[in-house]
Amino acid sequence: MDNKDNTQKWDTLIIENSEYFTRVPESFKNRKPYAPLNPKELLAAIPGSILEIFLEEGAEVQVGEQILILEAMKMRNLVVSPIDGKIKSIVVKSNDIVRKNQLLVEFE
Amino acid sequence: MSIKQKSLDLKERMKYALSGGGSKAIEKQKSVGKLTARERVVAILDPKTFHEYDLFVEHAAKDFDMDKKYLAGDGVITGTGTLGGHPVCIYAQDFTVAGGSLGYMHAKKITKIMDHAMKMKVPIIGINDSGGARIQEGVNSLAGYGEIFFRNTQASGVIPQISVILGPCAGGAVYSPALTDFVFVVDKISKMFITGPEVIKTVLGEEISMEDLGGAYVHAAKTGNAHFYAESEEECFGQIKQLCTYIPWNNTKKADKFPKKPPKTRSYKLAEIMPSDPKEPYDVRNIVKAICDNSDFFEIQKLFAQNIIIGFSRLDGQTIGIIGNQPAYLAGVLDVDSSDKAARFIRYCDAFDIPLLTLVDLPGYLPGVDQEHAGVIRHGAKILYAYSEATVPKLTVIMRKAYGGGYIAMCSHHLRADFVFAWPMAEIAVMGPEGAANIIFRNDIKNAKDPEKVRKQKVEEYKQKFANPYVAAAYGYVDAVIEPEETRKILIHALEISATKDVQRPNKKHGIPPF
Repeated sequence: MDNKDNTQKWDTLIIENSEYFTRVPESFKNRKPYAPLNPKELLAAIPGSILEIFLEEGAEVQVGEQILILEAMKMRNLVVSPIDGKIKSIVVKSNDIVRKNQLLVEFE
Repeated sequence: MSIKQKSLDLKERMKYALSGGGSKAIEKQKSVGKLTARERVVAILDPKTFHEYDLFVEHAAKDFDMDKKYLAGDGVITGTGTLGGHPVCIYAQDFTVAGGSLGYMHAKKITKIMDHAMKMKVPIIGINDSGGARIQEGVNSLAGYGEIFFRNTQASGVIPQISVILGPCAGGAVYSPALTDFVFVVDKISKMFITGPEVIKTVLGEEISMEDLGGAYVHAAKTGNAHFYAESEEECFGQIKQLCTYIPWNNTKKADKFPKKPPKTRSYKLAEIMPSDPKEPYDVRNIVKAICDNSDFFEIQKLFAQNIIIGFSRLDGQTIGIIGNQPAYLAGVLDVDSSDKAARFIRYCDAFDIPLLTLVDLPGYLPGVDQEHAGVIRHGAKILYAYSEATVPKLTVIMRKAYGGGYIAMCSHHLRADFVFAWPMAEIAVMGPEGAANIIFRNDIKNAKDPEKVRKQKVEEYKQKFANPYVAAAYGYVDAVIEPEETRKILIHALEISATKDVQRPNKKHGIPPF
């Protein structure tokens, strides 16, 4: 990072329409672009494992209706429907280990 | 028994206790490149100054047949000695004895030496090398951690607390280092995490190595938990000794004064380091070296949030804490991590009466959804809080850009800097010329026949009028516009004038910083 070293190729970073020559770390270059939450998708709020699934694909659900149990942090967490609608697909099965934000259920 | 016999008996007992976990365990410790606990203590302290206490302490576990076991010194070594000629308290967990696990008496030894350090107002150095809580001692080992955390908090800002991670430091144990002032880690030896790779694998099915999860480099570069990273224990001990030359021994003392030494201006020429174009990068550490005694810069958290630099140096022999934007990394922006890094350091310097020098050259805060959602408001506020709260002498040099919120945050007069100097290249403005011109002259640009030409013209106009230090100087927000070459001289003078600084803050139990 010695400024006497003119051979170094600098990255550019734009702030308020000004383009700055600087070093931009890989972590910043590779950061995930923002994507808004899809209301038709139910994601795992916490990493854990699927203990039991109560409903099947095609089932009509109402807000608050129990869909499955996600066991995490020594707790059995009831996962309920966030919307009134119809289940398009259940992407996980019993005993699956899921990561945080992994897709569990899709709604139509 | 005669006196001689008694003396022999003592020698026998000492030999037994000093044998630690036995030759086999010691051999294992050495085979992974680690020194033993006692060797480490001796290597850190001045030669032949270590005095050990509580060598004959025995563990208090009764269950699971533990009462039949002997654990030398209960797995931790405590004592006093000197470092650079000044007294310190020290403890080192002995991994060869029951994996350095923390039980009731082990914790008692640590808290006893911590209490001693507080009473004597001397630094405490803790060497961590432990498998964690001694499960056989149950809730007593939890109590032990809690007692240590409480003391860490009480001692914070009163005596320097130094943590050296020379082995595993897992689970609750990590929070003692986290509460201390400086954490040292060594490549391939230090491991810090709340839950280890095993648990992560069973619970989450994610596989990760110990090194990638909580190795030295991860904490030095990514999490910011560590302040100093070394390749070997020896290098680490050198860093500790060097750090101790810069800091005062408690919050009522000043750091040692050193002989004045001019900077090596042949290697570090201010005029050549910084390009005049505010978009061109340079290494701000070279500016520090061009200004400070002997061109020394003892950098802290070198690998973490590199868009801001923090560390110690000296002006006219006196320790100063330096905070500087680094244009060579992410354009020197403020963001979540750099705000955290700077704010904590500012508070350290304020607690220990170390004057602050702030070197300003930044385009502002880093834009982006990830920063906003990571809480750049809450984290960015820490730097405002820390500067505003600090009552130590605060000197600021605006070298080049100081735009928008970044200008305010980097120890402006408004946050009660004592002296703000600006170089002639300084641009103190509400935002960069391109951004400002686009907003102010939006309609002129939009309605022009040749919008690009008008835009350029308006940017140039704005630059001429506002991208300089004189608008701020006209309001007294800058005390003096100075030639870069004058900087050292005027800073030394400003420090002299500030030596008797006396400001009062409103009486309160404590503030509520945006933690």
